[in-house]
Amino acid sequence: MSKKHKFLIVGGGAGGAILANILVANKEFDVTLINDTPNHYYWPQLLQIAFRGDYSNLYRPLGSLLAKGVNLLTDRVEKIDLGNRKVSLKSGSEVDYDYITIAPGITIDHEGIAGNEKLVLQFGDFYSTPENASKVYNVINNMNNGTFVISVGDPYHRCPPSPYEGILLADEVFRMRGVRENVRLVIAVPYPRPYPAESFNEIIEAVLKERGIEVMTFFTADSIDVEKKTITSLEGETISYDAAIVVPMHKGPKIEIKPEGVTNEDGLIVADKFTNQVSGYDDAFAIGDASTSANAKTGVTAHLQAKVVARRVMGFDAKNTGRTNCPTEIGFEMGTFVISDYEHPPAKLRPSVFNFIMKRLFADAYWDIVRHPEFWDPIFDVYFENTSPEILWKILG
Amino acid sequence: MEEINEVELQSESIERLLNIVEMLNNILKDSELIKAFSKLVVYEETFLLIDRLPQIIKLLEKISRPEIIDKLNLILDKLSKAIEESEKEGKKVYSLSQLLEMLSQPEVSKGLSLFLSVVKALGSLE
Repeated sequence: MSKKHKFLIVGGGAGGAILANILVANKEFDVTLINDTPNHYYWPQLLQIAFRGDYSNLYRPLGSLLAKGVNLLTDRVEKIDLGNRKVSLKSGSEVDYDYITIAPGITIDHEGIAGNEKLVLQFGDFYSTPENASKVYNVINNMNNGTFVISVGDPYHRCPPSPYEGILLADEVFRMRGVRENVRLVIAVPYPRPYPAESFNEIIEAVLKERGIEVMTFFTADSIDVEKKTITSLEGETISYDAAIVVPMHKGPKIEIKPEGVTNEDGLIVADKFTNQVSGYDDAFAIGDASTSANAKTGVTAHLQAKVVARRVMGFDAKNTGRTNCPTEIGFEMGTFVISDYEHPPAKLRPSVFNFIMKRLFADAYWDIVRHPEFWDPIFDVYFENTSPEILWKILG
Repeated sequence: MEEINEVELQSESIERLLNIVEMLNNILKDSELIKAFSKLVVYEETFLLIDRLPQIIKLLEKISRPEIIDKLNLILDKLSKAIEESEKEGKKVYSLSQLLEMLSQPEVSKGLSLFLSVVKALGSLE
């Protein structure tokens, strides 16, 4: 019997856990997954905590999401030496491998925008922790008048539609509380239009207008003065607020990766956008938010990349298509999806109750999707094939 | 050894079943999701549809009779062929004498007689 390949996965998020569950079914691999916490977090739930006070779907023990046979190590990875195929852990031990996939997710850096650490202490956010999301919930449920601002400092943040979901769900809460007339809602973005992709902007701009939400374009949040309650942009404009959330900077993982040069200036691992392969290493892949191969920092992207890595190490010439599938909730039981790929910009998918239902059902099925890719992947293959951006563009124009 | 595997398989199946029950429970507890489902289903038209369901079912039964389906298929085939033919000919304009000449063709007079029968039947409706 031939020796099994040692396959090491760093990070137990959506991409890492799904990859482990796919690979462990193949007898060629001995799969080990290292994660720094014993839990797996479903990050989109932060939005639900912030605007609905719903903590139900936030996390599960990672062990319960991994198939039998996956070796789980709860430890912090401190160093990855790609040249010597060695990973050093905080506990002092070292792990070697034949193949490695790096999927540790990103690090939220509030300090990247001057004043944001203070701002987040006051008003929270829906990008970092459940505690901060909970602060947002308290703010929007106690604010009766004034200006509420959501401002984007980092255009490469997790879940591209999330700032729009945030402001629209805030609008819903203020309306339900009967104070919307007294609250001015503003979304400030670095782009020349409300949504960066022109095609999807047609959808989102109409919704923002209909709901009376003001948009400031060419506004990249650069510094915050919590005393004066102002946010100043790189472009030189200033906006006043009574309550505000500034989307924090997203940086690469706090892991020393050798050799130098495999990470970019933000600490993200440079990987091929089609194969997820780390430049210069046949045995190393990077997927998910921490990889430059992810064209959207979302769980769906990490999931699809995990499938590509699994197929490639099994000998198939699988490639990423750049497919995105970002569910976007806009309040009042309405939703849409940002669906695009490398060849097509986002399709003009209008908000509907049906899309909202799809989003919620997807969230409810999330844990089973991670644990049982063998069941869900054939279903998703059919879904992705029949909702490809090419088809949607033909139907929707 | 096999027995242990069997027990393991059963325990995994039970665990899966419990996970699915939990998932369904979450879906049923999600009041917004239930509201969204209701929005999709509960319309004035939905109630009208339910009210008229017996007549609609009778109508569907008639339509789904094999002889009716055969006839409908035949009509659709003939129609699509006629459309194809007319597309091939382009936007040909017939003169009055050509139209009169066409009336003498057996297919045209048969078609016209069928068309007039349908018109007559429609006219006899109260």
